[in-house]
Amino acid sequence: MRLPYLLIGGGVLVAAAVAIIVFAALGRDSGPDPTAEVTAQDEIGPTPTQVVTVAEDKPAPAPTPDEPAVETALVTLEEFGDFQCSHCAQFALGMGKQLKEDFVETGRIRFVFRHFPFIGEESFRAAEATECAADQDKFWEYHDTVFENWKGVNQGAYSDDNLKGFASHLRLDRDDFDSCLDGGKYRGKVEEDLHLGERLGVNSTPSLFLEGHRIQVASYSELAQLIESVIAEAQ
Amino acid sequence: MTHGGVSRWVVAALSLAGLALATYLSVEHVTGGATACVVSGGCGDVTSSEYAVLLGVPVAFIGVAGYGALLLGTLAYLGLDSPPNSLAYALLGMALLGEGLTAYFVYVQAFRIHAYCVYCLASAGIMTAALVMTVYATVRARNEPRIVLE
Repeated sequence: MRLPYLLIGGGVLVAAAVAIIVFAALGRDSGPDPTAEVTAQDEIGPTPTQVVTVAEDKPAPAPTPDEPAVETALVTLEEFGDFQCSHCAQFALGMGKQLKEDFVETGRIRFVFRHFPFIGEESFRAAEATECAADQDKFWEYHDTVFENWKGVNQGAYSDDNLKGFASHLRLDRDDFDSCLDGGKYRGKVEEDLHLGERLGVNSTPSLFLEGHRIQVASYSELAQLIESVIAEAQ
Repeated sequence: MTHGGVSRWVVAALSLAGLALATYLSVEHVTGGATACVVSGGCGDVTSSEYAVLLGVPVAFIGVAGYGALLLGTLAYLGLDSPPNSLAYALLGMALLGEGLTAYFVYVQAFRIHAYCVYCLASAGIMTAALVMTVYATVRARNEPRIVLE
């Protein structure tokens, strides 16, 4: 009878697997200290000599035309996102909306969305479409509409026809929008954002940069506290 | 060699390999995949998709539970002097259930997400091999002459 030995051995292996997962989850949940100062280690760039902030790399990130109250904002928060990423959709429709209410519309921060379309061609086309919508001062409305229509990846949810349908839904001038999208007017701009993200080491979306420093937060309250602390420093 | 022979030990080894894979995918899920879409060539698309959670439970966790149960059950079978038929059929049921879920997840990758995760495919291969070996061991045990003590 060697049942006890085999079961003990197997039990230890299964318990070890569970313990690894629990420790990993606890490690993530602890997250960054929202009150901690942003240190040099948090700066973007693989080595000190290559440290480059988003602001330095692109001195004047183009504000979206309908971005509210940007002139008075002291602090800039940037998001690298992919319209086919389900977590970007969750962020945009959850934390992102709260963020706009609490910080952007009150002029306390400047929020910039940067394109990081890595999941597929539909990500690229959706990104281009939002820029076409920006031509008609509807960037954020279009951005929200695209995320609200997230239905999975690379399965036609963001086909050109659907993207044009979103434009009609938002009452954009279809002739201008279609001409912009069909002509690939903003392909280059989207690629610029993507390459910027790659240079900054973005390896997941949504990736947030607060005043050029990459941040990771597990909840809106953490994000809000972190922003408050950076605003306080900037004043 | 105990009853069930080499085939049961092979199932135990396959279950252990599957447990390791499912543990890795679970860690990915709780550390990154749960909050971000990761640029990792296919696995990010799969592990961060809506299909990575089934009825509120992360698929990777189901893998840990399934492979863990198959490992412990097979070790119990190997450790008993006279394992009951019910245990053999329970193991067969577990393997069939695992294969059914595996087939569904491969379908999801191919036709819903349109992306493949090499770890998920490796797990599918392991589960299929475990099912084949479990079926073989069960059939073989049924056909073995039993010594009845009177």
